[in-house]
Amino acid sequence: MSEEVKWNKTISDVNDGILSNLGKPHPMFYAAWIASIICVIIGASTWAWEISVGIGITGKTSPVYWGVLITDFVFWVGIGHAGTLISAILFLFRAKWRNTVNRSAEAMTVFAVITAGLFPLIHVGRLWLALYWFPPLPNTNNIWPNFRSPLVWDLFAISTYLTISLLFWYMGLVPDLASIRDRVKGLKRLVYGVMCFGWRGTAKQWHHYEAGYGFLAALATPLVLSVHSIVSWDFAMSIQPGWHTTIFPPYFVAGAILSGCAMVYTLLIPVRKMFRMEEFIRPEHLEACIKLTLLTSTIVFYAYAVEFFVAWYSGNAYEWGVFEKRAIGPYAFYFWVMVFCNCIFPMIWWSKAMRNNVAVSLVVAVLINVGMWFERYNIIVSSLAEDFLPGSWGHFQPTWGDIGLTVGSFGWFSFWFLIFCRFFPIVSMSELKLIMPKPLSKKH
Amino acid sequence: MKRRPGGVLAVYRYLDQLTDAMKKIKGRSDFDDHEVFSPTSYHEIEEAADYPPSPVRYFTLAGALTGTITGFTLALWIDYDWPLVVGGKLAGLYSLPAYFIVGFELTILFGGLMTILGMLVMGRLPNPKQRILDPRFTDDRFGIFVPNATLDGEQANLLKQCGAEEIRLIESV
Amino acid sequence: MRSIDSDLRGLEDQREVFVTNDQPFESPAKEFVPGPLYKNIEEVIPELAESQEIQDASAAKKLPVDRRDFMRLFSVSAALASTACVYRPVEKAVPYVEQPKDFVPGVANYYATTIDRVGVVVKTREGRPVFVEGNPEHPLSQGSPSIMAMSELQALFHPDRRVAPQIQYGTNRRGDANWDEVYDRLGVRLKDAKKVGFLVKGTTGHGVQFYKDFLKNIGQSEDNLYLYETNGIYNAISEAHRLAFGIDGIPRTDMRRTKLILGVGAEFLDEGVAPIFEQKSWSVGHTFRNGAKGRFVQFESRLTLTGGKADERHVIGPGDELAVTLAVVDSLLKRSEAKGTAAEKANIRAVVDAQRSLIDSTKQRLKLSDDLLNKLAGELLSRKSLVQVGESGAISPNGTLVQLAGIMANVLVGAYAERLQFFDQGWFKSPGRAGDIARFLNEGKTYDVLFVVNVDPAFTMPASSGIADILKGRSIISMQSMPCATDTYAEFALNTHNPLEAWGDEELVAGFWSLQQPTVRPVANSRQPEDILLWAAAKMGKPMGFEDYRSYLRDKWKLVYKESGINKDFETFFKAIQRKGFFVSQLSKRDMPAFGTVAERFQPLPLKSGMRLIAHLDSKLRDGYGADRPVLQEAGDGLTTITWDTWVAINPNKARELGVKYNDLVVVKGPGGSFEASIYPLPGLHYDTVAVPRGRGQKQGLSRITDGVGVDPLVALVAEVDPLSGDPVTSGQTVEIIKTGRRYRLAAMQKHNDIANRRDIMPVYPLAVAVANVRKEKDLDDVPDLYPSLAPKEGDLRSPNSYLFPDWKASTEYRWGMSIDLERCTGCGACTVACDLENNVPQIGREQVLIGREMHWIRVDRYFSGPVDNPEVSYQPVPCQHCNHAPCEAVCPVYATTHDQEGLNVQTYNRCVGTRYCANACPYKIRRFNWFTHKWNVMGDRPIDRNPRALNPDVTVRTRGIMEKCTLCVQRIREGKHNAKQQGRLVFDGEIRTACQVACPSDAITFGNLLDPNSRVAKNRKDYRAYLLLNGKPELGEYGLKTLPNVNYIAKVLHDGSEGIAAGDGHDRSGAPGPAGGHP
Repeated sequence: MSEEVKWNKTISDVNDGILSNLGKPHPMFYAAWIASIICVIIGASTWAWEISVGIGITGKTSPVYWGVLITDFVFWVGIGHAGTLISAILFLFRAKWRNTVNRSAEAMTVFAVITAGLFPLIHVGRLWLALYWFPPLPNTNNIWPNFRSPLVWDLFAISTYLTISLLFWYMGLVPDLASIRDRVKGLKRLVYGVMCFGWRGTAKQWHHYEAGYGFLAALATPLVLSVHSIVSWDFAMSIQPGWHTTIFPPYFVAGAILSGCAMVYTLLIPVRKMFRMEEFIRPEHLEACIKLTLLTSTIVFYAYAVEFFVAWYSGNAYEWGVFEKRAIGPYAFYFWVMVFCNCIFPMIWWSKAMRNNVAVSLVVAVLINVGMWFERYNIIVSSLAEDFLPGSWGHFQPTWGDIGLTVGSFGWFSFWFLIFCRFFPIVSMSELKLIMPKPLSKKH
Repeated sequence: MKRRPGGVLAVYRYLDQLTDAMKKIKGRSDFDDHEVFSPTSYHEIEEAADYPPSPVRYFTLAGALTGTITGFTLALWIDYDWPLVVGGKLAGLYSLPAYFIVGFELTILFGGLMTILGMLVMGRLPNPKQRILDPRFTDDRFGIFVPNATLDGEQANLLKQCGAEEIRLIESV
Repeated sequence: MRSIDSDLRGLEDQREVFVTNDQPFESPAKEFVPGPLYKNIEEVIPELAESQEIQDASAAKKLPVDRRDFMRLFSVSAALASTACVYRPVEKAVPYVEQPKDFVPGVANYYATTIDRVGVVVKTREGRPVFVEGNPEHPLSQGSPSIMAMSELQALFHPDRRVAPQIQYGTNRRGDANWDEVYDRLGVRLKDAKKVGFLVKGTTGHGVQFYKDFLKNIGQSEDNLYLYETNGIYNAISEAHRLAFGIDGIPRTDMRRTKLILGVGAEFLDEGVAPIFEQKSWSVGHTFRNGAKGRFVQFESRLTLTGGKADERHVIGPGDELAVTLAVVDSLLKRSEAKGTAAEKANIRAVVDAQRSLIDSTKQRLKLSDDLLNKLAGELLSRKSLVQVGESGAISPNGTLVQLAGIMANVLVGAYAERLQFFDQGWFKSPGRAGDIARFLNEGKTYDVLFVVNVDPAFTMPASSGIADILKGRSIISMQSMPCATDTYAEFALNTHNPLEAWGDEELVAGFWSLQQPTVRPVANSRQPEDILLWAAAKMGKPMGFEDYRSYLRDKWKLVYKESGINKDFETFFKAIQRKGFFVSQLSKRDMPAFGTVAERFQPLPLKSGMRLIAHLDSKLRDGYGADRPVLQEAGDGLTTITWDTWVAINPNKARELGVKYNDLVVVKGPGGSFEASIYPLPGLHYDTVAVPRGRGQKQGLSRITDGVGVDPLVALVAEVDPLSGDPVTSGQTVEIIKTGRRYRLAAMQKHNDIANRRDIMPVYPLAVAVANVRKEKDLDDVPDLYPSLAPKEGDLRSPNSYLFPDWKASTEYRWGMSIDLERCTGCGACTVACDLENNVPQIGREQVLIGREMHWIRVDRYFSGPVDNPEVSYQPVPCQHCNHAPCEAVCPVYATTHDQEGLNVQTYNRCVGTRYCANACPYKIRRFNWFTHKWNVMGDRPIDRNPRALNPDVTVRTRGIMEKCTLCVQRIREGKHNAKQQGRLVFDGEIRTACQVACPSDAITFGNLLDPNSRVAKNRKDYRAYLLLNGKPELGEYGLKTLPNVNYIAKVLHDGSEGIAAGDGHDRSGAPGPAGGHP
């Protein structure tokens, strides 16, 4: 698609343009940063409170033993999917537009996964024990973790995903860090020099670099698909009605990509504005991102429908009971928010005008993020609240604990993302140069 | 350690001129172990240079296989170390399906780590004594560095003919 | 560990005592031969023997020894192994150089005693009580403690129990005193007192005699003693029998032989005359057993636990009990086959004719058709039947007349002749005394010194009865084991012994003595009320000649001993009594006289109109005596599952009429005053019924448990007494319900009340089907690839030589299982209370229960189904099901919950990190999570630290962040296996009993070894009605969730009155009135 991209810049302008963020940033930046720090403080103090008093400060109860915290966890893991998807899968597909967004998408992935990784720790009853009883550490009693438990799968999946995403992201950074090194003086030069391993940009280096990058992409591709499948097994592996369905893995992956892409868009627009990247992150690229979002939105739509159909078609009273209540029961509000945000609103993107209307698209993207959060809330809470024995039914009310920790997580994420935007190239310069007109002497 | 040799550095502005030069000097003994610099990885350069396939692939393979084996061994060995029955599922091979997860994850993990390692090793990275011949090479310029050549030498002329923007003498350090 | 010899010696003792044949008392220990040595309760009181057919049935069992015998044998031997209780010298924290007798650290001692009129065996560890079990030998408890008796443990170690007596010095200065000062001042006070009176908790034992003696001793009249029993039914029945037969007392009703019970406001499963005894006999005669089941038809105005178990239930208005009973009597009279002599019939007819208008108007108002009544009358006369009347836990001005009408009915159906209701032996004594309270309220003001012993008139009598004035005017000596409202009026507020610390006795049945003895040294510097009196008397210079109450009792028991004609010396006798806990001297012989003429006394007071308040005794807290025990507060009501609150129960349709909803705060305005409480729309109530439980709403500052809990409905009542029995009336006064527009959430444990059409979790078999298949067996464990709790099968891949799979073998000796008979479950919640106490389950308080975090390991689900006005009520106790394919186990990341070789689903507390995934995966949702480190009693605003002494030393105390759940009392299993191992045998069936099983008054819960084909639990699992919750129908190859629990349920049977000829689909209640049945 980037054939039609109308570049009025050459590769010579790339470094100057992209690295402008190393200079004096937009005042919006500081505002955002302060805000994020405040949120982090709120979250941290809530966590301290929880650790000192007990997990009971959150709204969880019997039978809803998981609540907002696991919702946040799944939400952030989902956000973390767009990055590697865009960098890896689209790289293999040679989709040129990814070169403009993959850097920030990967950064988003890394920070989102780090945020997600906090939540299992926040939500366990005895953090201090969880830390060393989850991983298989040798101990005198030969007590090991249970590799048949989806939670242990999760541990491996998430940590692997984090590592690989981190490597992928950093690998892409190396040449760009080198170009920063070549622009700055003194201590900065030293620091960036160390960070880029002393990259020189010789053809040989590029040769191996390309090979490595390709293999890493090939490895990351199945990983992206596996991680959220495994997260979905956290639910699908238990026999709760509303959880115990085979469609969960693809359904979760689609949802993750949907939320991820929406988040990429949500982040790109302000960043693009804040650091004046309009010339490099072209509308055509944003539109491509939207198209991908639209696609996954339809997949998610289908998944919702299938869930309901299967629940009805199975004739299982318990299964149908849960879905009935989801749609018209105590949790109907959350359900319909989810449906409208994830399935209905994105449909306006079928029109090109809307796709190119940044304001509208931004609103829809934000709504999708909201909707995806509610989707996880629905799946977790409404399935647990009223399952098998009517005598055991109960309901869930979020408390200030839940809210504080959620707010904190958003602060934590944006804090790191803003730091990234301030000190690293937001767009992968070397890859951007690739998709720009080649510097040729004879003008064809 | 031995000093790194000085030589001639040609700076190009255009990609096609660079590739012309590369094609011309390919295989010539007086251009032995010359270096080509590029701000990004243009395929034209790859073709012009046509290097043998990168051995990074072997690193990846080794890592991946190690990972698979580690994963399954870990899970199964733990079962034999202390067999426990959960949910009517017996330990050991009975529960093998569950162990594909850890097997898979470790495959990816080790594979990825080894790939990076391979890339660094083959790219001679990290190199602390980074010898930056020209800062523009990470911006928008291409370059060819011929060791042990002189400005009035015949290699310099050749590079010049290919449209080099400038030709510099690099001191040996 | 106790050796089997000591058991045998114990057995020798009792046979010596109870059979008068001569043998050397200390006979040498014999080799253990179970059975023949052992004596059945039946031999203690022949009338308690099981009916013939049932004995045959049990004889048919191919057990080496009858299970019941073993249950008795073992718990009794426990009781017998312990010595008589004497105060030991104080043990300082010094290691035992010389071990005290009968004291092995870590091994329990058992003391037989009597608490709450129930014979119990108190399990003590290191000298302190840890659990209260029923005394299997005691005819009135038959192995089940009452809820109140069990919860005495929490009262004993209650943090708010006073540790010093208090004296009112001068006008407004009250302070702690020491006991000597108390005796001195008491002596003085008594010396210059003109008139001294006693208001004493109703008792039947020597206590009454003691107070009389005391009064005599200080030169007062014996009439100054008033017995106060809150439950008015005792005096009502007793007085009614005095009127009818000239014999006062309460006949022991035997429901084990009845084929039909007609209940009119009957309450034998709630607050009966002898709750445990009656519930046991009901469960024998009226739950499906060996193909037979008695029928139970109930007329009542509020839904009670009793009515919930009725096969056919009719709704009547509050106060209609009298008219309805008379209507039944009327229709009985009309039939020729009615029993009773002509004279009796004449007497009865006289009454009925006199009340004709009342009968007819009521019949017409309630739409009670003559067909229905005639049908009933026919049934009553054609079978062994019994008429049980009451007023649903309360008493109205006509209370005694209701009982009188009941007596008439029973005369006509021949219940007395059939000896179902009357034995020539064994009449209950009424703990109260008819007329006492009326007298007290009149004469109270004439006293200048008034002793109030173990009763709380200030709270349990309506304020309008002027009790406050009586207590204010004079110097009150309040002797209470726990602080109560009366203390605040007292000059002497003396902290007395908890029943677990006190001496005493009861003659519950004339000639049948139960002994109460201390099981622990006093923990709170308290004294025995009688001791205080003795010592005070000594101070005032009128010693009674006993150094303490114990010696007084021994003195009285010498008389019992003399007439018992036992040929051993008294010490031996008394020691044996202490071991056994009770003694049967000559049971009172009486002949049943004819029914007298009662017409002129039969003057019913007119019913009030409009909505009437029934301030009934709470099923857990009674009149408030149990209110300061968190375990009772949190166990919740059986029908509403409400904890920590008072509710106003009205009919849901009526509520809609009034425009009030669940949790709406309303003002209940009565003639005497008004109170505020929240509405609970309870199905099955009459439209005019406003049912409010008593026992809550105590004065502030008495105890941190009762502070701010509920309200006291009595404030709405005007003073009124039953003219015949003289007991205060708490039912039948007109109230109006006024909306406040505010809401106040009731902490109901169960958030969803109907069964949501999920019949598969609560199947009901019509009698015909149950009878037809009574011999049919099914194998719930016949499931493909059932791993691993059963013994490995043939061709099992887990063969020992298989190197493919790690070697894990299920035990071939034990596989623990439990079976819960829903037919027998009455929803009383005793299992929950027992479990809380045994397993150190924390009580968490209202705030947390509102969120839904109650910690009970066994919760009793209660489901309503069918018409709102007259619902079908089902109960389902849900402990951990100990699934063989437990969904919770596989998902735990750290192996904190796993399966053990004996089929238990075990939880490793210190491994648990609290992911709570297991709880999510559990389809039964019985796992409990410690959201906080719970304080001993109450979370939230009234935290009280755990009192370590109140905890069971055998069970770990859980901290926050840990998942916990029912362990099938694994500590008891371990103990049982240990005993068995020591004796080189396997555990006997019934040797190990879980706490809930011990507590269940209707023996609904069975626990045992499923691998033993003869064990009761294994047989129950094969029962045709047995099913596994949420596991489909294995016999049809439908496995449902296929969690394969080791806990199985036994479905209810509905007696549709057809003796099993007609078969409904089990859900319709043929004969029961439609939705609007019996409503205006």
